[in-house]
Amino acid sequence: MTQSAQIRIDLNSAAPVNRQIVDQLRTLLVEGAVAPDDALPSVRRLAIDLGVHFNTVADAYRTLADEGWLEIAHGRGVRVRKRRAPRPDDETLAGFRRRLRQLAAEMRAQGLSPAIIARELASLVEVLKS
Amino acid sequence: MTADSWMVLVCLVSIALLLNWLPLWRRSSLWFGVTVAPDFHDTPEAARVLRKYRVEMWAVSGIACVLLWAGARGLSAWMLAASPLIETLGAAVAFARGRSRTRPYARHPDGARAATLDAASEHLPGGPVAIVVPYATLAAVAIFLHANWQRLPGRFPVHWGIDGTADRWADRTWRGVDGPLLAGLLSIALLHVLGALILAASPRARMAETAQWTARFRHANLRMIVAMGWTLAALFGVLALNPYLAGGDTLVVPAWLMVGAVLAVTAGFLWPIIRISQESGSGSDGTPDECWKFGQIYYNPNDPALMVEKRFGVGYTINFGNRASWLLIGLLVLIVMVALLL
Repeated sequence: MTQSAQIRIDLNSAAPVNRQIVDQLRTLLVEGAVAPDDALPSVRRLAIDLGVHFNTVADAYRTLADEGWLEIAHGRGVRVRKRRAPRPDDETLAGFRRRLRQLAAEMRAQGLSPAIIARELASLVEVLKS
Repeated sequence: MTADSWMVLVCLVSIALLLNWLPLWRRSSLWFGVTVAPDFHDTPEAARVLRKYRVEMWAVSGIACVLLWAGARGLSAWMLAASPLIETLGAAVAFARGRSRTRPYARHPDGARAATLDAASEHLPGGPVAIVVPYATLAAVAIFLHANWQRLPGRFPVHWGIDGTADRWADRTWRGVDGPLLAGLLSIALLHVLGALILAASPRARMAETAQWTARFRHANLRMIVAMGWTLAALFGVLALNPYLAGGDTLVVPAWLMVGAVLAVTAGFLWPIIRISQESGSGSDGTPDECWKFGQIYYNPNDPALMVEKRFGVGYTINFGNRASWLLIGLLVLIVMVALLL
């Protein structure tokens, strides 16, 4: 795990806190900032550090465990698993395209140019490949 | 005035001086327990709040000194005992009033939180050796005293006045001989429990930009706990050995030297904490202002942390909204009662 790996949440955000934790942890996992066999803070530790309820963190960890990213062993903490990505079906691909187009449209509406969006996507692809 | 009264007076003045500076030992985005802009403390409004607090605090301290003087002159015994309490409560009220005056300048926290994913377990500074040594010291003294039981006097002093005159004695029983060691053991154990709770149940950092500051502040507090454990072991060890070493009613190590040593160690380890707490860029502590009652009592049932940084004074305090806090308070009361019975 990189030394600076951390997650940030916003308690005033419309997005639920457990969703924010899931999204950020998943991003770190995909980008390799948190590697297989790395230990993550316990539910208690992360909840105290963030100042949120234990159940919120436990729920986020469970979601990621269901996706195959984490292994939760009672008394032995939380570990990152070696995960083999499932074969995507047509529905998954269609969903990805839809969300990507929605996000791109939203960013265009907020003033980002197509060139910037293309550059960011290319940069993301490089990260995913590495 | 008697020597005891003079001692209480010195304590009153020392506490007043401490209270005079206490509001300045805080995170940079806090002023009288209220989250404010980081540069608020440079404003005339902040200076006015501080000035009023100091006027009120010194006025109450003056009243406490007058009560002490009146009590020492024999007007009423309760005045003597109540003076430190009145001074402390008066300062708490002055601080709460300062907090009310600061609230109009409060800045609403933005709700941003950050946490490191570092899962490494934390320990008290110095590791297991630093924890074991105080207990081993007390155990060694106990073994030595029991090995030399017959050389201990049948009756020996266990309490002395400020002038060094013995005023309470005990017989050569396990309670009389081992009493100081057990009191030391409980005090050190209590310190270590608090240290363990700070490690396990206080936030490592809730703001990414102040994570380093928080880590240094935590470490400095934990170092002080470890140092106080060693100091108490030495103090109670010397007190327990006194009947063997002195033979008579005198103290082998003078009281002023023991008190001075404890104060010196306390000041030496408190000073880095004060220095850290005066640094700029330390932000806020990530706890909601509205959960601080009178600016000093933290009650937040939605915060899983059991220990949080104090907003008045240095160190940590309990989150009274956490049910485990009542267990902790029960444990503290139990330890105090056992220590008093010994």
